[in-house]
Amino acid sequence: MPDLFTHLVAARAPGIFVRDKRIQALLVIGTFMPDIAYKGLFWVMQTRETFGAATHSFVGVLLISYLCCLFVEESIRKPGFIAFAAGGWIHILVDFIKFNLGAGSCRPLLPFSPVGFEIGWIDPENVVLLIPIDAAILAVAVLLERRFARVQQ
Amino acid sequence: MFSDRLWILKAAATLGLLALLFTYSHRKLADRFPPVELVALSPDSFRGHVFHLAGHRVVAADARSFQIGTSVGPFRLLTPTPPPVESYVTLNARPVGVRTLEVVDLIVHSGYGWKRPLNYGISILTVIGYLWLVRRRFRWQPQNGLIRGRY
Repeated sequence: MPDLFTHLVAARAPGIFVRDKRIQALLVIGTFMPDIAYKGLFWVMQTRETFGAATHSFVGVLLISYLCCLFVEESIRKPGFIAFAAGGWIHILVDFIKFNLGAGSCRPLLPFSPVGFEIGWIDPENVVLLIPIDAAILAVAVLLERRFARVQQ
Repeated sequence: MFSDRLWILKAAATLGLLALLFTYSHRKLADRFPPVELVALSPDSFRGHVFHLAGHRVVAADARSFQIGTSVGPFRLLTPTPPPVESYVTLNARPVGVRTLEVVDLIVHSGYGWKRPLNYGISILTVIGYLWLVRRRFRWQPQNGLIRGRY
């Protein structure tokens, strides 16, 4: 798993185009959810790694997002669900960058297919080295967002 | 689907579907990717099967092989370039004997001992920090079972 700061930046950067700050926050929280669900199953419920693999699948993200959106107020529940799901899917796409010897960094097609996918750009343990780059991208995104908001006013 | 009507039923049904998804996926993965520990019981039935082992610590090494610990005891991995003891490795390997596998692909994770805890530390701080930053966008109304927007 890349660190959640990398995942935050990957969701927060496109999040500058989301006007509603609540939905923007749900987009970022959605990108945390696959790892929170996976680690929750692994550490709290003591399940095997394969049991939580579907947290990093497109179907798994949809179900987790729907469960999460039920805790959001009714008026923003539908856009909240879309934001949670988009965040979760961004998480899966970011996970693809890991190099896992061809075994796949995650299995997005579960439960239909157990095939793993990866682009294989970086050793999973070296993802923390991306943090300075992430911080720079986040700073640019926030600056652009503020400038964009000022122009609109 | 997104209304408050039958809220508890929707939540329970989603939890049930998640449990079904996890169980079905686990069975599918367990069939296709059996745990390497089974090689200790019957190596012959896994001849040709390639096992993927991630983040294992090297507990011993010699000129032609190294050992990793598993829940059923140490396994010997044959390779012309064994990694140093105490390093962490991810590898693909195929069984060639009792508790013995031949390495097909190998990565040695340099700095695993500090990068992994740093990863978890940063992740935990990121989640707590972000939730703290956006807390004003929401109001907690647990008595209604909901997180409400502030505006």
